[in-house]
Amino acid sequence: MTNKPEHIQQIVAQTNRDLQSAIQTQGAAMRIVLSHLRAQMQDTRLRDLLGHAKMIFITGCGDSFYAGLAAQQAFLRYGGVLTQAIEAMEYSRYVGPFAPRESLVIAVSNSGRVSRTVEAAQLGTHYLGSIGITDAPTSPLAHASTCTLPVGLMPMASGATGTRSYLASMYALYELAITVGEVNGTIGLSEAAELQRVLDESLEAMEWTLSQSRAAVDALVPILQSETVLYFIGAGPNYATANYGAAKLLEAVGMSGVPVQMEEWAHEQFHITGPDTTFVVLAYPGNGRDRILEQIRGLHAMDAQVIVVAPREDVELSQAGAFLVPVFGRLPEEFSPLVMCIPLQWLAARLAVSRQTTMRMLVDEHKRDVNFHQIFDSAIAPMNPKQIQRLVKSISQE
Amino acid sequence: MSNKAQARNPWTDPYNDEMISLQARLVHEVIRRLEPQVEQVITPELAGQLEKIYLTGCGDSHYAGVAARLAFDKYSGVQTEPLESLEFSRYVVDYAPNNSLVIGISNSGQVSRSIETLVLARKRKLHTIAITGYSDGPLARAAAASLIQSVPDMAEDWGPYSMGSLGLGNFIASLLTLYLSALRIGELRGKVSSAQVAALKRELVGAADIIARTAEADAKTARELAIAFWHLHTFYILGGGPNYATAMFGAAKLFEQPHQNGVAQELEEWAHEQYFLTRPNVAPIFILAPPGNSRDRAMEQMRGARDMGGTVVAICDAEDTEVLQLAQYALPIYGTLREEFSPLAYIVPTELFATNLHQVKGRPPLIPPFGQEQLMQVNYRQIFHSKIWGQ
Repeated sequence: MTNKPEHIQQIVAQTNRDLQSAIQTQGAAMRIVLSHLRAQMQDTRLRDLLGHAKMIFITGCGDSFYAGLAAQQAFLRYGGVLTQAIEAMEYSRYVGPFAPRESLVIAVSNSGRVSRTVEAAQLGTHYLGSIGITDAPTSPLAHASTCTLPVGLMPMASGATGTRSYLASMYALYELAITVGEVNGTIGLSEAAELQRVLDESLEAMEWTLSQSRAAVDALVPILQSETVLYFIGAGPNYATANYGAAKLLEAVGMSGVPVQMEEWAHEQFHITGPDTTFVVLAYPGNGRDRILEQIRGLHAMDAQVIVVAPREDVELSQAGAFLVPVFGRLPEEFSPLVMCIPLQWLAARLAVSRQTTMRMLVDEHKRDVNFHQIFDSAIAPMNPKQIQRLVKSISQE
Repeated sequence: MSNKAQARNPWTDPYNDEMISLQARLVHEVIRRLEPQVEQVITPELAGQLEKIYLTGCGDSHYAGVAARLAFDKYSGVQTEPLESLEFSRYVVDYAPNNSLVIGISNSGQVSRSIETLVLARKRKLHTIAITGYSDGPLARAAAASLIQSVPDMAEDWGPYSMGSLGLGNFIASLLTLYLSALRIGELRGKVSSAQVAALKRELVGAADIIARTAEADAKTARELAIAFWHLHTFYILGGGPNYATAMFGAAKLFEQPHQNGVAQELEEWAHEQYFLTRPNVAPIFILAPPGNSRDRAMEQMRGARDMGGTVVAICDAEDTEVLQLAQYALPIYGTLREEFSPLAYIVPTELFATNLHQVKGRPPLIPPFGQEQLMQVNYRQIFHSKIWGQ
């Protein structure tokens, strides 16, 4: 680490300061985001699209995909419309061509430039339409979408570790979930208002969580100093958090983070679990709570090191691991990714400081160019109505 | 089946290449046994009222659902969603449309969470079908109807440890059962004609030869790769669409057999995630690039991985010279299947690699007093004895 050239060390130090600062100030940023989003929820075109949707696909890549996974439960519970979070290529190349006619695509990309997400949004316009969640009004995603929902953040500097953008995408999706339900009559105005109040409360809950979890995370950093892989276990909305936590390690620390769906640990990573493996278990009380406890007992039986991210007030969960990272515990499970991701952001930031690492693309132009080329310059497979008809026809003629 | 294979302990001993080739034989048997069952279980009345299909399972059984989704979307005419069992039973079942069909898959029929999906689905009065190896198992009892894939019987016929363990044969059996179900539903709904269904089934039967040819032709290269990579611990496997399932299945074989870290990633997502760790001589990247809707993207990702100094192993059609030229190594597929059926053959190369890595490297030792028996006990407890909601 220390043999890095001085100018690289300076970049690493500065970007890590920026990352920590971004995490510490994101509560204030999200207040602006939420206010900005609310103002747009009365938009007639947006409500019209939401009101006619018989099925919703939330799509994106990387963090944007995980935001969809995090919000899916809220759409199902409050929206009253069948909703699937799906990775952008899986939608654009495989599921989209067979989607129901009155399906709506919600495509998420902070930069608005991610080729595969643009491709998914384009395909969505041949059905009911596409809503592009992006803050880049002149971006390819904005052009490809029927309408856009800006979140009120400036697009983040390309190459920076996504923290605010992830939260902002989740807030946008949660607001849409509530609005779908309101438009469809699945929830009444008072319930919608109550859910919005919960989202308002989540802003303080995020800040509270950071303040309460920082010390616990800081204490973990030296313990994890020699780890090469961390496994993140989660289910339901917090399977998204597991994916997000793993991604932050990959990006900021250059360390292997592996997401594991909670049930699936027993079928898969179980076989490589032992005293030299560390698992971060996302243990928010909810529909998977009993299974979380069972799997933690299994992890202990395999002698794994277990870090539990859980609210203190759930005594059984919070005492189930060797280490506890506390979070705010009074949000409904479907909104809990808003707080569960906070300690994982901080963990990645502090490990990056400790290991003097940063996103590799920030210190290596070639690597940055490769990444941008892969993500932004991929050839988009245009799918127009004729092509879709041909595809469907070709099936019946095969 | 040789005596040596019969004496094999499935928990500790490596597979051999012969066991992988045996899957070809399974194709004919499963189709022969399942066709009449599928016709009996999936009635015109059932097919006609379906609004939505959920394919649920854990581990390999879940991957079979992911692998079969495209075939369901394409042929059945019913929007289909594969979901991991817990995700369905704890988070989605309450919101499923009334005329949903829930297909629960578990070869053993004892996986708690997969039983739970069917128990809760039935409480909601959804249609349920179990795909399992045991007609008298808990999964079959939880469902309104069952499709018995008979892999355990076949294993007994062919040698006690030849099939039915760690998912080699079970995956293909589950997948074929799902394909037959998709075609049956599509035929009954008028989405595909009887002639089309017959032709598609002939293609499924033809997969047997492709599996056998590929297993034989790739064995030597798989061995060489296992030797070349023996010192590495992490292996990325990328795939899109039905072959995202193949990637997950391949990663699972690396967990189960040599106890190494297999990381499956959706093809597109490599650029967003494991790109950050891609560099020379670290974790080889196996890229599934069959002819189909993601071949172009697979080629782009291969170029990207090579630009980062990564080691790329292509799993592609043996005649696809364009893809072959992009990779340092290749485990080709000898024959062509349409993309929705391609996992039947595209699973073979990573099976061979995992098997050979296990043979070459063995497994990391267990640290006493922890032993094999305890390992099995914990695994069975976690999978088979979890508390089931709704019972």
